[in-house]
Amino acid sequence: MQKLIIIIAMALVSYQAQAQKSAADKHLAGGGDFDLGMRTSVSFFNDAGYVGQGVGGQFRLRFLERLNTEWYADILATNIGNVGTRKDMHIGWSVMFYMFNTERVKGKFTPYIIAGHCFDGSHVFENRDHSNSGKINSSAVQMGLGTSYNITDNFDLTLTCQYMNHLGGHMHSEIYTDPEGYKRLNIERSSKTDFDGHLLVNLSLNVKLFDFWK
Amino acid sequence: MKRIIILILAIAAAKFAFSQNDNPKIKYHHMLRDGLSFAPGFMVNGMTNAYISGVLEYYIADHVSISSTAYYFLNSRKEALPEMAELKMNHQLYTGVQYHLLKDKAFDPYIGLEPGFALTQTRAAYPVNIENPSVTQIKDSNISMNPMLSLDAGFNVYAVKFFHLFVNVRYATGRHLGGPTSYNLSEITTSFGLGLNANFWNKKKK
Repeated sequence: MQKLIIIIAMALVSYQAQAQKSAADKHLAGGGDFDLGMRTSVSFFNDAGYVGQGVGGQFRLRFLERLNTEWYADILATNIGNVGTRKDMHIGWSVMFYMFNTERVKGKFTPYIIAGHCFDGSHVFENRDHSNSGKINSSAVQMGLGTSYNITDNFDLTLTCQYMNHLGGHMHSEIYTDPEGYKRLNIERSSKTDFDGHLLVNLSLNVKLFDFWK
Repeated sequence: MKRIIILILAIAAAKFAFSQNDNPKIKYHHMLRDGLSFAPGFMVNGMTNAYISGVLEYYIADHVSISSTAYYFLNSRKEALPEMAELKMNHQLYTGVQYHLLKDKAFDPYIGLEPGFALTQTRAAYPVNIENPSVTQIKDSNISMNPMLSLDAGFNVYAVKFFHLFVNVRYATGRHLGGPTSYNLSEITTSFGLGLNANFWNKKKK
């Protein structure tokens, strides 16, 4: 049994070494780039149809010529009709697949398909009465299209449009008028899983800092 | 009128500094630049604010730099608009990128995009009892962190070896969402002054 384990381990090490050599020979076909960036986000079709504005950051690690990964965190704030506020925090990752051009050359576009997953926390409260509030943590998947415009060989401006679909419970808020004629916010929390989501548009600036494969 | 005079003085100072030395052998790539100045802010709602602003910038390429700008809120002219909620805090921090139109010139115009956030607090009328919102009391709102987006433009003039003159105009947009009503933070800020610059990395290479 011990011999068998040793043989399997050796075979794995040998396979790994071979794979690394092969990858080194090919320079992993253009991978290895590590980018750092800032993003500004706009969220559409959010709570009660109001538009949210956000800010965040990300780093990217490109594994292959056509395959990149993005690891991000952001915070979005939505003004619900001057009556309430919704704050959403996302932390997640995405895989980017470059469909056409893969070269990071000044003046060129690199379009891609993006898909990923994130964890999110939401907090909704009424502006005049913070005790009327609700919090929820859930998970979401997102998918969309994007393109980078390479301003220089190491710096790009990226526009991404994704639909984010929440998988866990939800919070819905609705503005109503109370008997005295004042606008109030009704916050409902639902633990049911449904396919509620929102459209996210991100504009980000990314700087290539290292090439890990070199 | 005061703003026009300030702008004319800034342009005249830049022109003067520029004419002093047309080619100070400035190298943008790897240069580190900083600056500190007073910055007046003009909100779209008519409020005028005063800040101390600081900028730190590093040129990662001939035309591109990464930059971080902070605004420390000092005060606002509340008396101009007594009907509005008082802005008690509006500190801002932005990080982003500047694109420099020229390469290695003493006159360095640029445009940039810097997302960031504002730490804000207002003093506004809250209902004493939410069941009877017409009776209000003035109190401070919660301190709120609000996402912001800013576009900026300006120029630097590198006339002397380690010093430069900088002029910057920024339009920032966002909302304070911690008070009884949302507060529009959209504002144009201007800053100009003398900054320090050095290019340690290029010197080492020589």
